[in-house]
Amino acid sequence: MRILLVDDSKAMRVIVRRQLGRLGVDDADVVEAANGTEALAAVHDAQPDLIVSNWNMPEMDGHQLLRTLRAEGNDVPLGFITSESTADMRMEASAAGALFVISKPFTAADFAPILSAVAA
Amino acid sequence: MIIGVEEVSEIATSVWASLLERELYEAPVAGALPAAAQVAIDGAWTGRVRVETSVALARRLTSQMFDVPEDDVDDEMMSDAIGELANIIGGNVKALLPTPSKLGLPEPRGGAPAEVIAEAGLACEDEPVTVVVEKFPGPDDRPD
Repeated sequence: MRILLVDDSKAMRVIVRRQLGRLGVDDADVVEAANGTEALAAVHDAQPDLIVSNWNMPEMDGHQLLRTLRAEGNDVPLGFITSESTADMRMEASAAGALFVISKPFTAADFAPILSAVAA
Repeated sequence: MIIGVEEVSEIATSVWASLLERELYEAPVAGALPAAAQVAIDGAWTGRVRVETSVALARRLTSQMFDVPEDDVDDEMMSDAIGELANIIGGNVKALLPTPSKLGLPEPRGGAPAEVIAEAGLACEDEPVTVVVEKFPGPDDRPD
């Protein structure tokens, strides 16, 4: 499974990679982008099976990324990791078509059902 | 009072434990600490949340978060790592505040003076950590 990891914090990308690795995801199957704009280019190049994106980012945030992908007719599964998972934010993400919302801080266990669902 | 020292300490301790697997415990509030980052909250409640610590602890935590030796840690990496801690703690603080509001991106310490709502004095491995919640004057604070 190829995963596109989108976060403006390199530290957080390393942490998410580590958690995905604990679930058996090969490091080579994880592609990174630092914001939504970079992610759009990476989607076209890497053809990911799943996008794990931060919600709040400079240039293009996660919500804009999701809306842009759907407007392009791209239905790749996409979910958010965020430090501000209020009820309003979750409703907004769900309405936009997000597969999941994971709150920071998180553990590998939070990603396990998502990887299973996408792999099925 | 919307949020106090106890709530801020609980959030920071929980983030430290789950993200870093390190203990954060109560300690006297230190003076301004050199490694700091903050996030703004803007909306129904307007203010900021700042995380401060020593350079020694910032370097240690950054080394862990990036999975590199401490000698390989540079200022940009420390700024990223402490900024992410401020982001996560700030996001969890925001969840306890009036809505709607937006969380800003992590930034270095700075900005206009504001009222200190809560200042949690903490420590990790004998190094000081302070989490500060500051509020800007809102419509309710303006004179008639």
